[in-house]
Amino acid sequence: MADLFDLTSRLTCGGSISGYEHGQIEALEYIRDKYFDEMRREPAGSYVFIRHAKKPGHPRIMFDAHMDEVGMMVTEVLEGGFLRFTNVGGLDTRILQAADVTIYGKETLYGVIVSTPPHLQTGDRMVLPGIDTLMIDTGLSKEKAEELIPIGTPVGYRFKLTKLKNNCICGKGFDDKICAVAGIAAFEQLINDGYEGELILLLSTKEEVSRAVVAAVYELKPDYAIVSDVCCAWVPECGKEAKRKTTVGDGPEISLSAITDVRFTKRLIGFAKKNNFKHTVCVEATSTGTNANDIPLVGLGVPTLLVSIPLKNMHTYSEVVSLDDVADTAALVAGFIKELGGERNG
Amino acid sequence: MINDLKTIMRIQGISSREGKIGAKLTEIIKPYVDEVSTDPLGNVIAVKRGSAKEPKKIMLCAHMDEIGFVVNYIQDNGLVRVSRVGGINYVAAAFTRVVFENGVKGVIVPEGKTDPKDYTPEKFYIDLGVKTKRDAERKVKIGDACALESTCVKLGGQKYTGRPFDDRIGCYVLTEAAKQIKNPENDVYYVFSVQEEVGCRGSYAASFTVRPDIGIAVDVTPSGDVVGAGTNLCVKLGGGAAVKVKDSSVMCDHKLVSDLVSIAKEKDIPYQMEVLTYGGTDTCSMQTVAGGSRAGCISVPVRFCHTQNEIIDMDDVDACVKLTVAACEAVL
Repeated sequence: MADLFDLTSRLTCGGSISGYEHGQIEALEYIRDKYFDEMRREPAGSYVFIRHAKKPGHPRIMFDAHMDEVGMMVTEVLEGGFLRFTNVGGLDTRILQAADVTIYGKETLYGVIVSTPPHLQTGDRMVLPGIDTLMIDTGLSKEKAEELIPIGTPVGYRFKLTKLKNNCICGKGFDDKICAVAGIAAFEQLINDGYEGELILLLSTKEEVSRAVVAAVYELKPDYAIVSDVCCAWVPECGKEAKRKTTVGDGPEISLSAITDVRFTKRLIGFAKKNNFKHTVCVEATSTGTNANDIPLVGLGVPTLLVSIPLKNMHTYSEVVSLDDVADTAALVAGFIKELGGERNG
Repeated sequence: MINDLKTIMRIQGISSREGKIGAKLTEIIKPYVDEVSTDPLGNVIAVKRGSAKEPKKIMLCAHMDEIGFVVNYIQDNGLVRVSRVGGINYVAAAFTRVVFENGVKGVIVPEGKTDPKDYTPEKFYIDLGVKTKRDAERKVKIGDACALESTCVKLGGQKYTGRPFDDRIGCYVLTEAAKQIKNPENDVYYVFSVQEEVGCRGSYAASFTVRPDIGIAVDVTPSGDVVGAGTNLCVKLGGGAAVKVKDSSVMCDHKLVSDLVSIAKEKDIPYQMEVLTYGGTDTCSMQTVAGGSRAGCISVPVRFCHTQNEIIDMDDVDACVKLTVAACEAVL
């Protein structure tokens, strides 16, 4: 079994906000060298990894996880070396104040988002600040900050990866790199088991802000797509009446929606039940909010299913997942690809 | 020079009704390209072939459509109700002259005593100066389109006010660039796209036809140097060509962004960085159609976008032309 913690650390330690996925190029090259025959960056920015088939006749199966993470972008350098910024993807200003950030300028710099201490606050303390009122403190002079941090510089949460109890981990960028880890672990298992079909890993670009994944899929023309993304885990605040109760530790969540392929999805659910793979099923009527919305419609269409890993505190620097869920997802995906690989093309 | 721009601005082209402006742009660009054609949607696609053995395809794209209104109901008293086409700013549109495709003029007004806070499309009507439905129907029919009147007036310095600078100014940048790009190494495609204002629809089809390696949109971007603009609009009028890093629809290709900046620095072309927190451009469709392309955008700063009185600075426009030409001549 792949070292899931090590892979997670490699994939989340750098900055890869939407459109700047190359910030993690060392991790991408590591994955290529260890598991694949080739890697390429396609024009819209996705990274495609291919392990060639050892024997012809297997269907072409693509596993997709998005490589980008939410973050920020500098819009102005102010007196005193403070930075104004905007969000890239969905951010919650409640958790931004006093957050540690990393600024990917001409040099990689550290910063802290300013917050007004309670001692100095006047008026209504419960009012949330708009993102355009928040600033990053760089500790630099304005001149130095302007030199090192051009407008448009990407900013990410500071990397921190902590082990919690029960094989849970806490950090940033698990959305969606934890699913990339699961996919790589699944592929490693397949390789170790002597799987002979082609394996395609798509670490897609800009999921948090666009549907740029479609460009890579158009060229790849896979027979099947398995999309993996994180889903919001149940937490006590959701209440006992919440419709979705999948939580961290429940294993992968298989999505039944009007967009993903019903027959393909039911086949996976049947396979999981028959072979006792840990899983839950979730019903998402018309939208999954993931790349699984767009991939089915590319070209002549791609049968697509969505397998999600439950995650707490989404889009924060303290996302929490269980490595057991990651391992269970990898096992389910590997088992299912082996089952699909048994069918012949044409 | 300014007269060429005025010619392009004077011809109406509301989204999906770009035939006349398309024909004019075809006529203007024809002497400077090898081929020009119009696709089924109405996009004008011109190409200047490159001299390289295996030329790359650079697609420049500016949209020729403009926002407007479509008649959806005519009242018994001759007042005309309209539905919007694209992002109409009703506060700015109130009490403004409109012109229909057939030349009929009217004034778009809110119902009396409507607080500007409550301006919604349903509260507006067009006064054609007629008294009955019959008289109104002699002038316009349901489905007819109109737009705010086109104007172009000089202000101080190199600034001009009028409409629709969005995005005829981009079309103008492309035509001026075409005059200067004489022997490109790469194939340069000039695309005047349709229906950008209603969701970048034309450029989807055009990008599929062209399949560019590199896509550069030329469009307008809101200028932050107006009172009360807030703190997140970094572009300034007169600050030079704006190199887009992002808007709501796209994260531009980071390498293309840094290449454009290097070119601007090297050629001493005034430039500024653009990080837009809203809005969309044809950049997004060029980036993601078919197998995708490396896409970016050169923006002309504009104050009061989508109003009767947009303001641009011709020095910025010059910088955009220079940067567009230099980008097409560079090896990107």
